[in-house]
Amino acid sequence: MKYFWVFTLIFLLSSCTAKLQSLKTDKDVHLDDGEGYLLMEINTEISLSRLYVSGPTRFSLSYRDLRKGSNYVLINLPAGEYEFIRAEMKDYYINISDDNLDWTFEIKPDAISYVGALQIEKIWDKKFYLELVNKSSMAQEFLESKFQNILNSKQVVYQGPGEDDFFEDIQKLRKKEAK
Amino acid sequence: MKISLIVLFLFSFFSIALASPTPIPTKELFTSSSAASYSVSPESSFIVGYRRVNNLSYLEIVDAKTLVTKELYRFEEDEVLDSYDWVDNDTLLINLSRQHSKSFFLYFKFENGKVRTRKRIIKAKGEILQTLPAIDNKVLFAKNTGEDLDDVDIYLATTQQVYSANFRRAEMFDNELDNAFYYLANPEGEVILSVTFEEETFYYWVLDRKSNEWVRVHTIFNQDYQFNPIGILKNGNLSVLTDKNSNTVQLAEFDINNKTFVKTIFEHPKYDLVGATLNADGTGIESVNYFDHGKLVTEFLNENNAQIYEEIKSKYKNKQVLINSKNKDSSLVIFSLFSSNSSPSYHLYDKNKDKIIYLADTLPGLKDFDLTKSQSLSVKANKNLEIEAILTKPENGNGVLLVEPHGGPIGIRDINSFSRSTQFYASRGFSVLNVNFRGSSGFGKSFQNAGRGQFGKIIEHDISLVVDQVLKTNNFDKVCAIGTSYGGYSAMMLGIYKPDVYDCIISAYGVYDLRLLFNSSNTKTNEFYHKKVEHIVGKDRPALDSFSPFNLSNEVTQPVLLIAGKRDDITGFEQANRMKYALDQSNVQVETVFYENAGHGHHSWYGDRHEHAFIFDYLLRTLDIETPKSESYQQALSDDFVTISEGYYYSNFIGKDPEKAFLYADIARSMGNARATFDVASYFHRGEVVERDIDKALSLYRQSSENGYGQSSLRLGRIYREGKLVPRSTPISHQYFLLAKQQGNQEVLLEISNIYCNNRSPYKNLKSCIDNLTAIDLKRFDYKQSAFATELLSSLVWNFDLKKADKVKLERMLNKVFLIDNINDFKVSPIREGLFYTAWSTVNSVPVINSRHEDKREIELIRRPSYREVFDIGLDYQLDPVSNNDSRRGLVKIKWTHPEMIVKSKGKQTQQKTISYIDLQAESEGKFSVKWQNKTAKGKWKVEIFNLYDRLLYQEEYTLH
Repeated sequence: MKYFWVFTLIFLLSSCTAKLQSLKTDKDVHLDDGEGYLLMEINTEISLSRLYVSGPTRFSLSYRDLRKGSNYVLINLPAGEYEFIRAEMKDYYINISDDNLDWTFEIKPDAISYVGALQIEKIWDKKFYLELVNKSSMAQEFLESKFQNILNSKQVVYQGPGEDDFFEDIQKLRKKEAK
Repeated sequence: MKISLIVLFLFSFFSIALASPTPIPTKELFTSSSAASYSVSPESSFIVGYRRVNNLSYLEIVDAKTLVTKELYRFEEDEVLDSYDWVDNDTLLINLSRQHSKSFFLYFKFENGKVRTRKRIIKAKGEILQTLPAIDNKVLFAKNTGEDLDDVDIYLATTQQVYSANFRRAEMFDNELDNAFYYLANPEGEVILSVTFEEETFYYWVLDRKSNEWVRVHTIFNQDYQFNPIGILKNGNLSVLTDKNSNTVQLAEFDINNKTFVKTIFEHPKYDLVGATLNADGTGIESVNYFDHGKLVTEFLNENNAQIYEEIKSKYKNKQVLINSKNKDSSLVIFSLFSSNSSPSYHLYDKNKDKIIYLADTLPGLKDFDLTKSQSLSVKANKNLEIEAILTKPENGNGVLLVEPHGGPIGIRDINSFSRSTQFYASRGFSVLNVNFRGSSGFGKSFQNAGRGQFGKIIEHDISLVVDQVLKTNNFDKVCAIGTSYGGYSAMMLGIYKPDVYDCIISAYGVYDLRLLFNSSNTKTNEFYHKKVEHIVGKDRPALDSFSPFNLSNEVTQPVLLIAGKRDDITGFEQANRMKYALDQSNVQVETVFYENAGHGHHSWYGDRHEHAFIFDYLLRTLDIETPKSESYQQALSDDFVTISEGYYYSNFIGKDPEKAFLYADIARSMGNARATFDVASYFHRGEVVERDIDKALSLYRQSSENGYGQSSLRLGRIYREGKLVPRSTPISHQYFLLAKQQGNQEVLLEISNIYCNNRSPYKNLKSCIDNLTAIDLKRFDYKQSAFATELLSSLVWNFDLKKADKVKLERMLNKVFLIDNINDFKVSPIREGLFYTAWSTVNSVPVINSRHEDKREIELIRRPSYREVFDIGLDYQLDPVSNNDSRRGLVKIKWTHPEMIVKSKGKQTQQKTISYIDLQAESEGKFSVKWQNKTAKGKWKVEIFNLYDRLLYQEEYTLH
């Protein structure tokens, strides 16, 4: 009976969750009012099958963006507060938001919100270490190399852990150098 | 005339020596110490030390009476020594590194030049808190009773009780303290002190003997001062190294009952004490240590031992002395000698014989090189403040000064002692300046605290003060700032502040955006972590931008080399990448070396070698330094180029770049480097980067071989053996193999052994076979090569008729190479017999292994095995020593017989009635796969297991239907 409810809950969770996939082409999609881009990196030592995120739109990322190694994800979402909920592997899952760390982030409208790099390290067997790391400069380099058009049309704002002015600082630096 | 010629000769030799520093090869500097941790037994004459020689790690034992030295315990490949302690005069506690987390007792007898040992792995869960050398065969043990670290029972137990996990008769300490994670006992094994940790606070407790109650004696929050207990004194007071009520760390007496400091035992007016030792009975202080102008000083508070120390000091005037260990009556003292220009060496002082006996050098490879002596200097920062520094200036320097601030910056310091890195640069002509700026440890609390919040301020002011002084009193043509961690930050800031002084900046594993320290990940955004960061960098976060190189990138005018580890979890790789990004935006000439698998530094010596070689090359290129033409300098330089080339060759090191790899190899080749010539030949051989050119490859291989590179001779030997690129020639191949052996190549020993041990070889020869196998060092081989060596051994024991005279040599070889320490004294004990079935499959893409065992001798195979199935018949067994010895490895010869077995060999079908092989493992299996060359061989199978000299140990038959 216990298993019945677990499966039911997982089924319900899965069924009302939008399955999203990262943009593959550098074409600035027409954002609806109140929409913005989410930019994040998923750096995992073990391939995931799903990553669930709650917020104005409850969504999950597909395994294509969650393969072992480094994967950048750029998707358009309704603006608002989101939170990483759960990472699923083939035979196991981790409730991300169970620990005391802050796993929330905000998507700003009409901008690219960089929320950090979700790092998943396997410690042993079914023990994992999760951390949301600020890798703004690498995200900037990623956008420059793969999504220059979107980068040209949208401002990047830091929405990861704490406060960081990296994206503003490099704009200032560019202006200074241009002079 | 004769005299003047000699003078001329001497003069010319002298001038060459003056003009050409002799670079120390990176492999001699950046390598593990070959000796460590020498200590003397509590009350006997035995000395034990850790040795690492030719990739073998072992403990050696020296009898101080006879000076006979023997190997006491050789570590297995997967055993890494963490520490060892004397339990008593003939027992050691060996702790292996945490990765393996295994501890064991080593009991030994060392008599008449012979060593016998017994190893007992500790089965009890928990940890040994303390060995008690004053009590025979007993230790203080914390036995785990629950999941938390502090769920423990404390026992005073014998070693037997601990290794067998049987504490029924052990003496249990009945007054444990809740939440205590540390206990300290006096030499009699009575628990006297414990430490608890709750809510970021350390609590120190002492057990009051009268009331038998724990008394909280001290509390430390946020570690704002030192409180390091040394021991309980005769009067019951605690001796503590502390700076609670003083500027410098002093040795003080702490009254446990009144919880106050009652007396200063020793205090230096300027320097912090860094250590103190108790006397033999543990009730009084024997000595204290501190660094005076960066040199270690020991002051004895006990006259007898002071005399020993002074005697040693008087014999080695320019060396610093550290007493490592002494026996109970101080008649045997182990000490190490070191200085800026000599790596540590271990010695024994025998008081009764009044003799000093050399034991070992930590880096014996440096003996042939002149190391550069460092000098201490100090500069007045103001009327009351002196900044100390260390300048290492080689006699024949190249006019370049490297200003190298240390990391930290708070609570770290530089000392005037042997430094691998400093000697690397100095031997290549560079001078190195290390400054103990405000914030450094060792100079008192106020000096250390004066560096807090002073990133880019007082710290760089202090460094610049010393640099100005050094530049005034010395002639340097060029200056570069170089550093690691905080030193990397400081190097950037020094370059920004003093563009006229610094010609280049080399910054490794540094911080560049100070505000990023507060938001580098969601594990570092909490208040506790922020307070810790603020305690070092200061509270005014907005102001940090003005002192962050990232925000000042457009003020950098010099070329910059940035080095970082992509797995750096101290500063975070983002720091370096951010800096690189900003420098690129500001059009600063920046080079990067980002190590894929390094953290806040390297995990392997190879990484250190590469980093130093790269920096050396960078300095030569950037400062346009002409290198001395001496052979030794060019050899070291070309070796460094080979290291850089290799770094570009591997994909997960700094990023694969075959063009650069080839370029550096080719430069080194043009300098006559034999190894590089081999590498370039390989590029032409493979047709990588350059067009495939076999003639060129062969010509370069020959050139490299003629210049003494064994790998080239080996390659040529193989080329002539295979006959694909040149006409096959066994004699030429043989000659090249012998040349490679002469050139010290290890791998070729397998090829040569194959020539002599192989049953089909025309050169088959028992003596040469054994001799060559004896020279093999298996630890240098990979898995495949080791398997080949075992195959050769199998050929040897099965195919040669071993005479009595051969046996001694053979047994010596088996012991040395294959670690077989039991030839005759074991039996074969089967664990499971019959049919063993294993199959691989996947369920939802997850690999699944299905295995089962059937205990039968008559076996019916219902179906033919598929390619994912294995049917094995036979047995799992273990080799058990017959008498009570501790042998670890034996050797058995296993023979399977099946009358109709058909084996395909070189296209022909030949009848073979037996399959013979050997097994070296203590626990192993003697199984035979019933699927042989795609046929299921039905019929009667007989297994026979023999010892080396063909005594039948076990036999069984299995019938396959």
